[in-house]
Amino acid sequence: MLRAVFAAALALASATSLADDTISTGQWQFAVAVGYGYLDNPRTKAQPIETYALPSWRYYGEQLYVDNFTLGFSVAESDNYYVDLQSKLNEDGLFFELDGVANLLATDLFGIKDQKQEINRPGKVVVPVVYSDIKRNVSYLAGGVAGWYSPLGELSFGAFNDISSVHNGSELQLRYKYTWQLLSMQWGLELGLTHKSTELVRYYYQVTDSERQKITYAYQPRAALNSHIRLVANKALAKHWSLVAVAEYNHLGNGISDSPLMDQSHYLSGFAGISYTF
Amino acid sequence: MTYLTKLLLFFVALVWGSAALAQSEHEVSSDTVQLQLQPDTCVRLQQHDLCQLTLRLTALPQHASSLCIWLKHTVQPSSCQSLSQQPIQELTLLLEQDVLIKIIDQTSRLLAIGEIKVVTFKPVQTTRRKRGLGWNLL
Repeated sequence: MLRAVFAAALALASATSLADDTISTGQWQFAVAVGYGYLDNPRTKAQPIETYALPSWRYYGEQLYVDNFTLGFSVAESDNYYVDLQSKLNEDGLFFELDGVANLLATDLFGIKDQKQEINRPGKVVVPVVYSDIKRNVSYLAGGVAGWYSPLGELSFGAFNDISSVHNGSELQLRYKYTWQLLSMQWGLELGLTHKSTELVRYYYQVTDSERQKITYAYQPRAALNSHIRLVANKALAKHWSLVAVAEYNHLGNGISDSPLMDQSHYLSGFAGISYTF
Repeated sequence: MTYLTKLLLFFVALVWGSAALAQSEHEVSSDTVQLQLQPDTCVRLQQHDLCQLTLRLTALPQHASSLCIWLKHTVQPSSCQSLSQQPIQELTLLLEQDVLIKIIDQTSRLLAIGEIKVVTFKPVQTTRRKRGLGWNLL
């Protein structure tokens, strides 16, 4: 029975052509999608993030590439595998910075704007912790990624370290990606596991002494294993126009969800709209 | 003959013999002309394929009698071809790796030397696979 199921899966994989996930080299590709996007914010007392526009930009040279906020250099690449050096934004900090498109500014992202250093000043009346006021800097990671292509999809493994000296932590990422065409639409599925180190978790999810006031928390920051599943659908309408829909579910590891700064162990996000590619 | 004289004569013989030996193995001397080869690179489509190159020879050194092809770091030439007295000659070469082109006279004295490199054509990638699925909300 298992052999029959496996044979059927292989047959389906080979009979169904993979969606075109290639891009012409040497050309910038800009796109913007207009619609409605919603991102659950798992932070305590935080408002969900809404957006009505979603930009995208890409450039793939012979070895160098830019894919939104990810910068990469392909050390080796063939039809079957790739090995990249890569740098990318860490997502944890974005929950403390972003509040829809309105706050998506470089100055905000990298903490250049002055931030409150104290919630309460000595000698003043102690006020409860205002979780929504707690700020953390966005960090930038760099490391390497190795990926393998097969008819059953793409498997990749990445290891990254903080190069922005925000938390000096690290991430390990395991991703599975599969793209296919069905009903005149291009589909993409991604499953992922992300291990976040104790240093990273401590910086983003531990309440600092200046933030905690007189409150004592039992939470001890520790490494966490997050997981996610992502589905993207794209239907071409005309030469530059497409319908696009994205849905993603993220589950946070206990090392993060136990933090008093988080009141959810999972969060959903999604976007639906029309995109234009320049 | 004193011991020192014998030693001196031995030394001279050693140096003279080495020089003669070097000439017979086509060592570059001050008289050797550096060949300006066009083309100096042979391009093949696939690795391990033979690369065909048509060498056009003009203004050969006087007394040139043979053109020999040497693989780098080898003692013997892989092949030698006689040269005619024509002012312009064309030779078709089939090469597998980088070679030295040496033109010698009838006494095997090296008159000119040049190098031909063999490279494999690598087309520019016109498309690449994208990383990730795109449309990240974060």
